[in-house]
Amino acid sequence: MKSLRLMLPVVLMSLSSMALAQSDAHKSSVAPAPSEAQKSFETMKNLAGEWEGPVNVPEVPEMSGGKPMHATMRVTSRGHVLVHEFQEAGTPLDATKYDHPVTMLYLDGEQLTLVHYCDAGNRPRMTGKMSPDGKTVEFELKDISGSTEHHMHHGVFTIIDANHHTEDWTFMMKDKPIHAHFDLHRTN
Amino acid sequence: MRSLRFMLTVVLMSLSTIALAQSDAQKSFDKLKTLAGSWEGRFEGKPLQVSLRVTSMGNALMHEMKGDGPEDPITHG
Repeated sequence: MKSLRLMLPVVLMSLSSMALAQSDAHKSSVAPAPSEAQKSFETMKNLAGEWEGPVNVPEVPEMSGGKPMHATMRVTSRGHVLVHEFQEAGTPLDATKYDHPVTMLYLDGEQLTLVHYCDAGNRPRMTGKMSPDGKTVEFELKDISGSTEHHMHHGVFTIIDANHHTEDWTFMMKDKPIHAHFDLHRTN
Repeated sequence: MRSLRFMLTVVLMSLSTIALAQSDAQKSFDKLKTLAGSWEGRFEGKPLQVSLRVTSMGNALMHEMKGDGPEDPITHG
């Protein structure tokens, strides 16, 4: 009788473990809710397309009011990467003559991340967070591969609507920040 | 005087080692950059397109590979 009493709790415990295991298996078939980082990345991916608009650089007025800038954003690597490319509108793809920075955005674990392949020759890495209203994604510098003297330091994407967004990039010239504001409208 | 000569030799040797190391990396990168262009080939019997493009004022080489499927990986160096 004593051994039966001992057996019963063991059997019940085993059954409850199996029930728990089944419950977990059932749960795994339901897609988990996207994390904040995933939501931010999806928001950024909605910007895929061709964009054009003026740039304003208060600290360097001669850089403002010139030719419009063209931005291309493209989702690639099976949706794991968003490629962002900037160049002056109407200029050919010639890296020896024209600025053409490339930025790759991706999820690094639970962190929205970008690497900016700068015309200055270095590669700042930044981590991004979306504002609670889902309209702004702000990137803060995490580290830099290469020289740190002149580098891209900060970036903000502000989504106005499906066909209009702005980008604010802060470039550090040693200790002096240079702010560039891009007002971009979708062309494709 | 003797120690100065010795120091100078050491400093020059160090500088030349640094210069050589940079030069080797630069040579390798420049060699890869000569591949810039559009390429075609086959992978497992299926057609494959590769695009290599120098960008970021020559500081990066973008490598994109596209096959029949939806795969479109990018290697950026």
